[in-house]
Amino acid sequence: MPPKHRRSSVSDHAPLPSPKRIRTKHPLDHVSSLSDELIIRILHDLPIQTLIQCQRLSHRFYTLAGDSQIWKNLYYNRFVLPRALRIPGPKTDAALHFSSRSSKWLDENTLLGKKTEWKGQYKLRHNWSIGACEVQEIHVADRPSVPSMLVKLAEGIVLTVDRGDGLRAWDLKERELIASCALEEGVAPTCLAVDEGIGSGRLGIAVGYMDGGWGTWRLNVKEKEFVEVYRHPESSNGMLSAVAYANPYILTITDSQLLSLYTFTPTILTPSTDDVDGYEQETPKSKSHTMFGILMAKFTSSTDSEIAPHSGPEPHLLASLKSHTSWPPLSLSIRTTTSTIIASIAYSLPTYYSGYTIGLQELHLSTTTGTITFSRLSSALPQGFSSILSSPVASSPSSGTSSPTPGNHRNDIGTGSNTRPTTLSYSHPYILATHPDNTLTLYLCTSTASTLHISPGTKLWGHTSSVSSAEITARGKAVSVSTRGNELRVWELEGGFSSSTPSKNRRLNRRDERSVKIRPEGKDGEVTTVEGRRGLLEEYSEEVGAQKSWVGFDDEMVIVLKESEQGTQALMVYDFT
Amino acid sequence: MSSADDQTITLVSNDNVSIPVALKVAERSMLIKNMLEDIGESAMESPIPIPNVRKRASPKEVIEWCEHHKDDPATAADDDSDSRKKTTDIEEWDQKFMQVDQEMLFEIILASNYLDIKPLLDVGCKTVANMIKGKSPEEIRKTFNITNDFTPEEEEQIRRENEWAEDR
Repeated sequence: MPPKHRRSSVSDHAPLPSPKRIRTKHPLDHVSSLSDELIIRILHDLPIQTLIQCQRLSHRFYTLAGDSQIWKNLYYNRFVLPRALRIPGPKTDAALHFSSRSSKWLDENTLLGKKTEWKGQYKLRHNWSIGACEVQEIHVADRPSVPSMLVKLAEGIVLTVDRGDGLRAWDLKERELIASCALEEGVAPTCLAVDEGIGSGRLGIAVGYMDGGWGTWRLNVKEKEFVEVYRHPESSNGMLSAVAYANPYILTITDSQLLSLYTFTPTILTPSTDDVDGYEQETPKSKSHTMFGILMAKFTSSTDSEIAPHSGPEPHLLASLKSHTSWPPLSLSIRTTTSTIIASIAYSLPTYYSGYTIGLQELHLSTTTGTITFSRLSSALPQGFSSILSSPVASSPSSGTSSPTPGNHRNDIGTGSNTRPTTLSYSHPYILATHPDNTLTLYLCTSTASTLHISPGTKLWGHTSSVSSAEITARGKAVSVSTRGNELRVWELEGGFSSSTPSKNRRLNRRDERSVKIRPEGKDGEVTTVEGRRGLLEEYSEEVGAQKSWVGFDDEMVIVLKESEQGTQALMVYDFT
Repeated sequence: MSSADDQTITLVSNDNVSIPVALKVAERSMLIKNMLEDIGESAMESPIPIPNVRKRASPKEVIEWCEHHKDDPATAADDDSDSRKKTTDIEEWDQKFMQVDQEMLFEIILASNYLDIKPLLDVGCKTVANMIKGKSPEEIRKTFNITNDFTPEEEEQIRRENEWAEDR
């Protein structure tokens, strides 16, 4: 295959002294008389363990065996191909062979085209897959904050907000504070959302407060500054419990389940002066009453909207709904397509007989008129649920726990099994709920133009103490953290819905493969060799009393907010690079 | 273009030795095949120089291989797709064919690369890869007489840098 190699430089490591120009070539060294292309061709046939041995041969081999093309191929075969094989459909041999064509790389085609350093990428994925990482702590506060500190991770930046220290941004690579901005006196932040879609080097931030007000900021990463964009005044509707931000839309929900969707899109009368980009539509100021009847099913339209006049970019209330049956925890999200804004609320729902399950409501709004086109909701069939009516849903695979399979570990009928979730993470199409009973439940949403459906939950085992927080991405990668005991797990959940596979063995196997406990280097003899013990980590001791309350991650790192018994707060950074 | 089995062309190596080769055999080389297609029938009569093929791996060995493989199906010319199976699986005849000294082995690789005979190049590369596989750096250096231009510190730095991949 590869005679026409684009030569790619290998440059991720500490630079070695440049090779001496005069190569002292042994007279019988025939390999070195080959061109780089031919040597790379030979190296293509080698397993990874031999490849790294070849890097130690000489300067020339160091560069050649680190060639990105070789590692790209290895990356494809190990990390992309297995996913391609899981996708149902006819497979031809040719369709699965390595190729640069982006169609073959599934959603990882974002790595193509750019000057990706493939060896580094391979290492990163390898470390994730075995849970190997380095741990460092960033000390963020000396005292506990009430309400507790809020944390978000976006594009390598950690954002924290709390009453005492205000809004702060930390660079994860450098492990340092890059920007901070005090909040007004007396306001208590209760929810935080970050929008990564407002342009490169910038992050949109929305903070909701105890008093019902909220504010937005923009973080200019390069300039290392927060710019306050808008401040929404307090409201009698009560504390905001969740917020979602996808510029120009803001979705908030209060403690009393009043949901509001705002837009910063100006009307035609007030042309934009701020630098919110990507809109041209006009949005009527009035909120929609047309869907009132439908909304009554779950949310009743609220009449009190309190938008105080304010200078600058002013949001318009697009919709406001009130729920009487949803329970916290909640997770809000906004997705936009060219014609539709989909605002969703994932919430926990008591079923009275079978514990809690998950409900999801979607509001579809037109991007051109800003009016609600329709709203719909769905909820997952609780585990252990059995209907005396022969409902068609009851035939779906995992609702069949009423007819227990012998030896089936998931045979967990009973009210105790579906404890109320402690947190929800919703990243379409996945909803991941954490439970105090050491488990997580994964739900898959199917949202098409005509239907909204949530699969029955799949229980995930692995943790040995109460799961306090989890986060999932749209690609199905999730990280979860236990309240105590320093336990972090990485889950690869894409395509892993084994609830439909009846075989017990298969299920167990797959479950075992799904999560990997993160093992900081030097802490666990299983992963690192004896000499892998690094001095830096010696001081990293297991603090049994420490509370882990929040987890977030990106492609390279996981961060956990840790609160020790003394009340000091720190961000634990688990670095997989 | 007719491709009768008995048709022959003449190749000329860089030491001016003329070698008559059956057309079908010579066409295992994409270089020669394309050349003949470009120039057409007239080229059949005149000798074709193949200057880059060195003395030792005189076209003899390469031609011998092409003779044996003349009826193999043509390989797909997709540069980017790795249709080759991972290493070791070299068919028996090829394995015997490649039991030559290193100088010859690398001459064959160079010649097959120049003449654009992909299957032969693959066999050659796999043979070398099999010689490397599973060896320590010192053993590889010894096998191929590669000069170590690293200081011990540098080599140790690289070993540490790749520690993550050592065992899976």
